[in-house]
Amino acid sequence: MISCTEFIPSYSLLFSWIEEKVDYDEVVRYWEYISRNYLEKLEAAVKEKGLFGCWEYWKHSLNEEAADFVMEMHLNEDGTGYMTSDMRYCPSMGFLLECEHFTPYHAYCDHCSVLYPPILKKYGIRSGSRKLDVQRAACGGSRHMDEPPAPEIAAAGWQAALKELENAEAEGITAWMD
Amino acid sequence: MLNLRMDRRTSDVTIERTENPDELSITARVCPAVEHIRKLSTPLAPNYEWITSVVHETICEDTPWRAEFSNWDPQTGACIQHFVRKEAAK
Repeated sequence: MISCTEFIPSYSLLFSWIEEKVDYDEVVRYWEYISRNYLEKLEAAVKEKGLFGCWEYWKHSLNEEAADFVMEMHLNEDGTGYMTSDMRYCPSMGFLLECEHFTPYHAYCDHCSVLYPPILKKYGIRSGSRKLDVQRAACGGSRHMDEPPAPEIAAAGWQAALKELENAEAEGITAWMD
Repeated sequence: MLNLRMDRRTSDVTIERTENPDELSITARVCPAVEHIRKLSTPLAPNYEWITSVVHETICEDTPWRAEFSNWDPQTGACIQHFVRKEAAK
């Protein structure tokens, strides 16, 4: 068995290989295929809880990957609001930059921009522009719910967010209402 | 509006390789597990650090490697975890 981080060089090498064999567009098609078929957890979260589903999904995945980041959620009771993320050091790109035995895929960071926005868009969540500093393995972006989702989705997200507020201190999360 | 902010740093742990290929050091300045327990105001179990030291020693049993554990601080969980090849340590 190998750890999940060991897959990162494999992904990078696979992307390089696809581009070498076909072209960049083929790599994008591969990412689109992954986006359509392997992001069920994200899709289930936003389908049920709207924007707050994004918070839950990335809170879990970024902590699991031991990323160095700041994430903020600003949510209204009607389900509108926005979420920002400032990735100070991406564990995935950071790992590739530390590898000396191969060259990371030149557009490795592009996969995030292809994978996530289409799913979020299906549920009314707009992805803001992304700031990228590849050589520092840093990036930042935002997600916006501009229009209220269906009332049951807004309610499910709001209830989950209130629960997060209750447990915030224990989890080291700063929380406030205004 | 409900607002949440999560700030996670990973720089509290460093893994160092010296020029000696038979040594590896992991320096934890803050242990997230201990930090979490402290935030809950729950007392830390005596010998909590054995979770790390005993497991490492056991992993190294019957291998050419030896695990050392030092500089433990039960307030922060800070410690130094050192792995060294047995022959090299002589």
